[in-house]
Amino acid sequence: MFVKEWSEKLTSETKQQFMDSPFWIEAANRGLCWENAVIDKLSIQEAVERMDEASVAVLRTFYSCFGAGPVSEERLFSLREELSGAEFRYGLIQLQNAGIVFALRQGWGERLYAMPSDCFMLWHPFLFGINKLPAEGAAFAHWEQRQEDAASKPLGRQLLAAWAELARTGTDLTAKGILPKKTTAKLMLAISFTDEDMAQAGWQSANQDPYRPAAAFLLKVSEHLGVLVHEKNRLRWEKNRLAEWFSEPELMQEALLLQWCLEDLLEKKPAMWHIMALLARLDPGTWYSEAAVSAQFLQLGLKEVDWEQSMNSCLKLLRVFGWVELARTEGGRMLRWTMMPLFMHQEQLPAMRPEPIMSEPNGDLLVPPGCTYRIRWELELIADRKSDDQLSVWQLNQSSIRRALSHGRTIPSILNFLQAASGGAPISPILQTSLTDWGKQDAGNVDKAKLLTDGYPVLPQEHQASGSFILRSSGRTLAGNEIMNHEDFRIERFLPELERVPTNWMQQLRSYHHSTRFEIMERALSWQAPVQLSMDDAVVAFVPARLERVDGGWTVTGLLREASANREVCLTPEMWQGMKLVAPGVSGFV
Amino acid sequence: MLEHQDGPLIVQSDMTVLLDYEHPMAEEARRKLILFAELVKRPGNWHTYKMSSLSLWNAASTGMDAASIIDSLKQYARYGLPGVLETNIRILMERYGKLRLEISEGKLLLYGEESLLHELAGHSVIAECLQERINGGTWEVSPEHRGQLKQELIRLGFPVIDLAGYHTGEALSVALRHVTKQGRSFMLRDYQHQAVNLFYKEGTIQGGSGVVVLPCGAGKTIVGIAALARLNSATLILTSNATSVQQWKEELLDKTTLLPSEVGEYTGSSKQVRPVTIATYQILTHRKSKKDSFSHMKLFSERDWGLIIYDEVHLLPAPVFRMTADIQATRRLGLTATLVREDGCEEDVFSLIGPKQFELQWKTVEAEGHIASVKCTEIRVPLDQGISELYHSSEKRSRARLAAENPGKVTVVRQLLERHQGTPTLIIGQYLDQLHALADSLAVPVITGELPQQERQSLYEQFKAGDVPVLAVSKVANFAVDLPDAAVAIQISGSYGSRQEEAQRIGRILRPKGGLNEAWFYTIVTDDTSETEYAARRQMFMLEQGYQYELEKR
Repeated sequence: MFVKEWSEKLTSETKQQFMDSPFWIEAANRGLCWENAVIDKLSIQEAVERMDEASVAVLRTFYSCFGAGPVSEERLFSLREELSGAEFRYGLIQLQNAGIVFALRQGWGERLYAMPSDCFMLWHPFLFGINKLPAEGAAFAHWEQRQEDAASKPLGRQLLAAWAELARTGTDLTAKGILPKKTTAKLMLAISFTDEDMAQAGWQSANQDPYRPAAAFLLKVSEHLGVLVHEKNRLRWEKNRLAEWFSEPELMQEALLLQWCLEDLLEKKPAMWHIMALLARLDPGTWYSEAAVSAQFLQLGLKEVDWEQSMNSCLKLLRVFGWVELARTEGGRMLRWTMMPLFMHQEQLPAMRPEPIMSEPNGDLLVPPGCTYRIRWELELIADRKSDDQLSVWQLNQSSIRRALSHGRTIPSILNFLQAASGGAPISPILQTSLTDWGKQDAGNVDKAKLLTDGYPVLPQEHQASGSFILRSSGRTLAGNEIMNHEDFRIERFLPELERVPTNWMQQLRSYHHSTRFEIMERALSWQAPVQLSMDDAVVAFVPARLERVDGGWTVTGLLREASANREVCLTPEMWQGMKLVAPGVSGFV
Repeated sequence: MLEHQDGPLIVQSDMTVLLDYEHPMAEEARRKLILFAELVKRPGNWHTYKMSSLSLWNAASTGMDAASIIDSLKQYARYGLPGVLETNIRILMERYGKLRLEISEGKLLLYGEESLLHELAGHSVIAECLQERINGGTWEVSPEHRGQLKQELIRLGFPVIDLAGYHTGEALSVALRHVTKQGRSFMLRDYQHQAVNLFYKEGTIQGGSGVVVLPCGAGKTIVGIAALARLNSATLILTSNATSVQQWKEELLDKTTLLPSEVGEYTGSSKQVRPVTIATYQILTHRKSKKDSFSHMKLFSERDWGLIIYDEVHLLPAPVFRMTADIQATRRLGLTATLVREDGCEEDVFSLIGPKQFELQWKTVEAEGHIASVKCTEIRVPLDQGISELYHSSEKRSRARLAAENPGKVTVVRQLLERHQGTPTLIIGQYLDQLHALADSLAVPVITGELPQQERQSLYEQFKAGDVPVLAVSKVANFAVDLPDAAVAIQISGSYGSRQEEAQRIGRILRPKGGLNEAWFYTIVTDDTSETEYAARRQMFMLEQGYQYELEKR
């Protein structure tokens, strides 16, 4: 689930409480609300710097093992490794209180943890401290380049082409409630990713999905964007939603689609999340070496991961959706982003205004990259797309005008549209005459009773504000679960009987009688908390795991934290001089 | 999506480049662009250029490299360069110069990298041309396979630099006149001079074969004649039709010191083989039946030609290509207005005639006043009431004919003749009945294919002399007929949607005129009929060449 989706589920009080967390002091001072703070790079950096060691460690464990989740409490705690249970719980509670991690209660009571999936790539660099890679651009110009494949069109453009095809062809479903095969075949011609691409990227459609993988993916993303609604006999266009989507700048669309794909495709594939996060740190438009990214990935020390396969799957996915270009060189494979993977705010948009189309006397319509999708949508109906590259070219001709007329457009409405789309530039008289002539020639052929006014949607006229589109995730994270972050996460909940514990135990490193030492260890064990021990003039941390009485005495077995490594040891009380019970959040950390 | 600067070029992955002609930097970008890309069309403010292996190799032959091309594109590209495009440019450019043909100790040798030669020799057609492996990087080539080898290698994607040189051919003393026989002063225009120099290259083996691209009316014939005069050798000139043969002959006799006895015509009606011989492609490719050989191809060996000129090289037929492959030791000059061939044989032009040596853009020629500025107008007339009912009840084909022959057009022609009274005017039509009827009612002479060549020539002469101010012509005047003073063309009907025909007809009035150097092209179209659709199609080519049509309604 994305930040905006979480936000919809939370009360304003809860979101305000998140901002009261010490992690967000600076962000709150700048007047940021929770939704913005969790995706704001500066605020993220400040929050990580303000975090205690336990919170950072919990967040790292979460990210390393589960991506953005969700994960069951049992599984999460089983991987806490170096932290004691109390430390881990404490860290987790701090993160929950700041709205960074969410706790969910499933119907049968079990607890899940999850994070907003669009936070992952933004938080990753601050948690794993991997250095930014140097660009290979300068050297690359002199390398003997070997491009693997031509770059694909951005996914947003592929979707537009497929939707237009669907709108032209019709959205009626068969008796089985699916699109006719002919229609799906046409959709496949409109996109450049294939069933094989989807399989190689590791995407699997739901069991018993009636469509082949590429078509299933296409329809799924369309439904999640909310532009198509599945009804009994047809797919219905949600025109307002379509207009909202088209009002987003292309870079924003692609960034949102990337987020959606990560959430949908990479669930339960944490290694791929990390690769994506490392890739997302590369400057857009600049060439980098894949080997250097792989080396960084290995530095993360993730276990049981086939990084080569994961990297291939990631790059395959990014390439077929037109988000990266790949090139084979003598120095290995190179890659560069063609979009901004971390694009989150309108202000990050390069200074580009929507560009008008240029109409030529021969009927060619030249469409620059900055042209809005709203215009492209109408062009898909009234003209034939001849190329879709940096500059796209549509052509007006008799058959395209006939099609437009059959979908309820008129020659004056087409001329008005062209005039507006051209930014007021004059339409050549020759072109105007041609349009009028085509209109006259087809006037008799258009059966008004059969006008397909319901076929190709006319978008609502109202101006749509950009930046407000809420992307819907698969919703699996929250399905049937209750968000628990607004619960009272007090320290006493995981440090029971805190008030009955002598404060000296937690404040000073002191020498105690063996029986007291036993009591302190017992308490540490029940809290799953660590203790500090002074041993041979050194102070070390120890996390007790087991207390045993032996021959009138006792031993304690647990994890001794040392600078070089942790090791399991069995201690007897005379082996340390002083000790202190460490209650996370009360008496600091070790 | 990411890169954006204020440049006049948009560079596409498929090697297409669009130039925003209204941009302040358009002209400087255009000057660089034409060095490595071909203009495809310019229907409005956006001009479309295309880079191809040939355009890049043409650039490489002038010394350009991949880096300089990529830098030029980056300098002006509005949205940056697609990665795949940079790669393709590098791959193609690095192939130029990898293979070269030279003569050494009387042997024709192919030089190249050992691994490349080894790979290429594995192709059976290449192996046929190779005689002996001298060493890893050198193969001996049988001289008779010189052309075929170049042709096949370019098909495999590897152009060959041919430095094997030429034989000089039979000597012929010829010079350009400073004053023509008709008494006009004559000298080469700067661009014609430059074109000849680039072709000739001081007589070295680096020159001597290639193509000169000039727009219609810019004097391609003069470039050919100047090349002939520079080489001073027997020359075979191949052109597209009999009228053009006549015009070459007239120009040669008018502007050079050649005597009539030294210039021969080789056509259907005349078979003269003289030091300068002008022949048609048609006669060279004539044979009695498909089983017979092309008997007139012997013309290539009937004299020791030092130069062969291929006029309208974009029309060169396949059998002549085959013949040309066998005469690679003879200097060859191609002349054309476009390197784009409908049959896709551009590679054969490159390998067998040679790379592009010179090109001048239409806009430049017009700006310098070397061709007339043409104003194109489409005039819509209503369908004559008398045939309206018949039109609507007829079949599609009959409708087209009825619309084309609309009697209502006569009044418009009359009005146009009044508007341009005193200006030499051609009335051009497709249908002979219509032409004859119109000619009768306007009392103007008419030239059709029915008229003997001699009478046609006589009428052309009278028109040139100003004795006949208006001439009605059928499609026989579509091709290379030189009527330099014609300044108005009125098209009353045409082939259904032939883009080529409209261009050819406008070409008739492109020759530079005195005064404001203006010309007018009118196409009369019957409104609300299928003729408007055909007219739109016919205009497409001219629109793409940058001409604008105005519309008048009657």
